Amino acid sequence: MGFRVTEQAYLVMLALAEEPRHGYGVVQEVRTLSDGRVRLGAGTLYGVLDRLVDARYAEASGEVVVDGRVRRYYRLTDDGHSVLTAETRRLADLARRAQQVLAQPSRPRPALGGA
Amino acid sequence: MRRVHRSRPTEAERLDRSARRWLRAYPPRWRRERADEAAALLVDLAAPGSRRLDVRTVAGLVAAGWRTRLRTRPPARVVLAYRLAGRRPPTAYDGWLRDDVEGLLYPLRAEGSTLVVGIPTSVAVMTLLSATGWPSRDAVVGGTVFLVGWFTWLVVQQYRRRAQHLADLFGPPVRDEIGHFGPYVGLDAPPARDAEGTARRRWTAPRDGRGDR
Repeated sequence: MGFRVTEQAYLVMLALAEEPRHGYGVVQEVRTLSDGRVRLGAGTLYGVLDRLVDARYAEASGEVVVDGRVRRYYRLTDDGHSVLTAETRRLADLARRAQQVLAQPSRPRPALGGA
Repeated sequence: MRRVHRSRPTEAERLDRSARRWLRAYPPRWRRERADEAAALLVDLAAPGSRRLDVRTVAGLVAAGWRTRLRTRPPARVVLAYRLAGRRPPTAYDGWLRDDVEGLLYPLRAEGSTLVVGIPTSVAVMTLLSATGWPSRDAVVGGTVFLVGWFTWLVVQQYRRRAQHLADLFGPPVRDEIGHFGPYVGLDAPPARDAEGTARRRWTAPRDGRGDR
């Protein structure tokens, strides 16, 4: 268990889960999934992709040359799928617990000193 | 003589060159595989109309490149053992080793132990001794100049021996040319041996002298 699922890694895995994508497609999809909040640069994207490929959660799945530019596609492996599912379940549980906490009537908070 | 006019580089070509320049932060073996797709991505991500990568992208790229170098390097003690004692790292790090030997600053790195240990020690000893008056200050300066010259010669030797060192580590380089042909070796099976143990010769001329051909 060496792989740290950061928010960026989670979004990249989610982007790859739907269909194989190339780098630019992943960046766009992550931006859509996060409502424009997370904008990946090339450096961060390749950092995440390299870690995913090293951990065998993703793999390269073919190259297409368009206009002299190389586009390499990546896809999620089965291991990556299960990790993504487990992480999604963990987040859902956390969200549910958070809603329970927030739904409780607020307890009187202790005074923080001063007169 | 006709002058050849090189057409002005397009914006995409300028961006591509800028991208590849900054991608040098990544290790050479990473670049050999990924530089093309990374440069294409950087060109796609750049704002339209720009001729160079912007500062934020460059900063992120350089940081990621150095993080990749750190991540794919052997642990510090392995690197130290290699640099100071010449002990070859495990085969898992062959890619790193190859990049190290083929790198531009390899001759300096290879003599790193001399630079870091030998020379400062010698200079320190000379300086300490000169405090007692025996080697004059000029002698210390002369000694330091001599050491620097000697170190330069060692570095040049590393440079000259690099190709042989690469061959020792990784075997002779693969060449494109076929090379000399060796003697012909037929594809036919070797002659079978019959029960008496004598080889049945199929291609020798008949003993009665028939058949010159």
